[in-house]
Amino acid sequence: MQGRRAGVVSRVMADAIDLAIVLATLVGVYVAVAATRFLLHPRQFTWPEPSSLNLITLGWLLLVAYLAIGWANTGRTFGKTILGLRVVGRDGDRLSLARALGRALVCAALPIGLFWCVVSAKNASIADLLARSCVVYDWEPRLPVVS
Amino acid sequence: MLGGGYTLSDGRGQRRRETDLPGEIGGIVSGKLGRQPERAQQEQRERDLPQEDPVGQTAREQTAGPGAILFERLGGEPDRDEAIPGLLEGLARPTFDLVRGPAGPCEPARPVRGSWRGSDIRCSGVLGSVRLTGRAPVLPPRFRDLATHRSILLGSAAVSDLAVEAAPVGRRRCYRGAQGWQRGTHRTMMGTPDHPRGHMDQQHAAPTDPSNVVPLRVAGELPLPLEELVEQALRIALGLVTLSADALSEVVAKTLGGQAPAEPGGAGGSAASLPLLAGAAMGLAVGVARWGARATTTVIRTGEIVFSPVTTSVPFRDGMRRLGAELGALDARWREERPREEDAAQAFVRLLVPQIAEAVLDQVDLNAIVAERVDVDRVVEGVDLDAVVARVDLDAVVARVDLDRILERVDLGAVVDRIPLDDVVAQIDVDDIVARVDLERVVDRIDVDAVAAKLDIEAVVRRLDLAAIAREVVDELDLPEIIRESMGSMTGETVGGIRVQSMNADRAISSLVDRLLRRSQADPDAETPD
Repeated sequence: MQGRRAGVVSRVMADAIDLAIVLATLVGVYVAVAATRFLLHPRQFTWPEPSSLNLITLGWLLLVAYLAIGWANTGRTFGKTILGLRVVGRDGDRLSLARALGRALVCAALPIGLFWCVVSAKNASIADLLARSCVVYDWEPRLPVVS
Repeated sequence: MLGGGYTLSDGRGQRRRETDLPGEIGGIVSGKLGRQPERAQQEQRERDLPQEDPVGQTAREQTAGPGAILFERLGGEPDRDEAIPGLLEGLARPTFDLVRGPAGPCEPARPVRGSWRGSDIRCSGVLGSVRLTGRAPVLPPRFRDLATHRSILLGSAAVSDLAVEAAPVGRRRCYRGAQGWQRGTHRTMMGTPDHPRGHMDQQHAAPTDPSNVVPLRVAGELPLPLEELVEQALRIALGLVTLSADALSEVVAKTLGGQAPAEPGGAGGSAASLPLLAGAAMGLAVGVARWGARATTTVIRTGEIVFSPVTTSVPFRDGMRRLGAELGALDARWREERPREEDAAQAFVRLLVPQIAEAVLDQVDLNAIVAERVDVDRVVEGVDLDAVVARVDLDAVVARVDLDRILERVDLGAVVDRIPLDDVVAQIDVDDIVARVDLERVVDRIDVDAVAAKLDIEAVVRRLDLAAIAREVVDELDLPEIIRESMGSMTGETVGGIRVQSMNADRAISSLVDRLLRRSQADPDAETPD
């Protein structure tokens, strides 16, 4: 199964883990901002009350950065590492930073596009089609050579 | 007494020394007999020369050929009837055979025989119509004595008709048989049944050629042999008495617990009275001995002169001849009995000597004598130890050694205590020894089960400090690493399970979608990247 294109279940589970990590990071950022405010103005400390737009924007940016760095670096994020998946180009090589960033923007803007892989004969999501990439099973630490 | 002198010379015309005459075996020959034909001379030399005696070999070298030593009297008128027999008897008495008889068939007259230092004197001469011949296995101590003795006894003997030839013969004896002179035993000189005694012809009487004789003057008046003999005998007797007295006095002194008497005139001080008297007595005895010898000689000479009319008379001579014949018969009987007496004496001596030797050795401390008089170092230096060891059969020696008895007598504890074990161990290369040991073979030969059965494990465990050992073991272990490895293993198994299940779910959904969309499931492009 190594090197074959992953199905929707594995990819959803990996993306869920990544999303949880981003949310945890967002919470961490919130706590850090609150702690900073407490340290700066402990007597006037109040919990920060950001707007939803700001939170969504911050969360979206964190998600794009997290995904782009992971795919451009090793081809996998933490969720895909757990599930043994790797994002590669159609020729099997690692994605460039631009392609990874483009794929991350598409994924963050249109998460529903992931389910296109269910009906896709090649298990390709919308982002894969746009970024000309694919997600394969790769349990080994090193990216296998795709024939 | 005869006037004139005698010559001593050899056949080569060279004078010979008058001393050392026992080595210069020679003879006395007359000029007349010396002028015999060459054949007789050659035969005579062959008869006389020895074949075995080394002394005779020396003499043969000195008397070979015409160089035989001759002793010739010069001048004087001979008294042929009396001088030659007296000479012959005096020369060799009592150790030579004398055969006296007419020129025709020869009859033994007064055979007397003996030996002296392995030499032999052959005597022959012509006295008127009588030929005298004899063999005397004796040579006087000095040739000068021979000359003097002869001159005294001969009186006016016709030495020119006398031949006395000395030659070393060793054990060889000759007799005159039907085929001439032959070799035989001493006894055969008197005649044997197979070889009756014959007579000597004129040719055989010539011992050598006197043509090369060179006259040698001999000193005039010489001491009488009889006088010297008597004096020498007395000296010997006195010497023996002196030595015996000294030894006896020393033994007596030691027996009494005192010291031996000091030598007179020595460093020990003045002589004691008793030794002084003894020495004076011995000196007196020496003087008396000399005086007695001279007196005896004078008496004999006087007797010869006084009784010469009687001794030269025919009845006396006949009586002497008969007496000589009787003595000869007695002597022959003695000679026949002599071997048996000698054998008996030898047997007695063989039994007696060991007894005497044993008795003497019982009285002698040989160890003390050897320690005092034997230089052991010098003796050992003269011993070729390598040759001795080379002749020793070491294998046989070792085979005779009882090593068990030796080891039983060895105190191994004392031996080990004397060994510097630390130095010995320091010189041992343990690594080299261990490298040579085949441990696998050693271990294979060990019965591990038997060893384990003999071990008291519980006793060993009771003696262990398990708490300390546990603490040391825990300190040595990296438990966090072990926990991490365990957790990682568990996480890996969990993740693997999730991956497998998610993969199976992917395939299930993919199959479902394919069936719904009526797609072929065998599309390889759907499985691998482009």
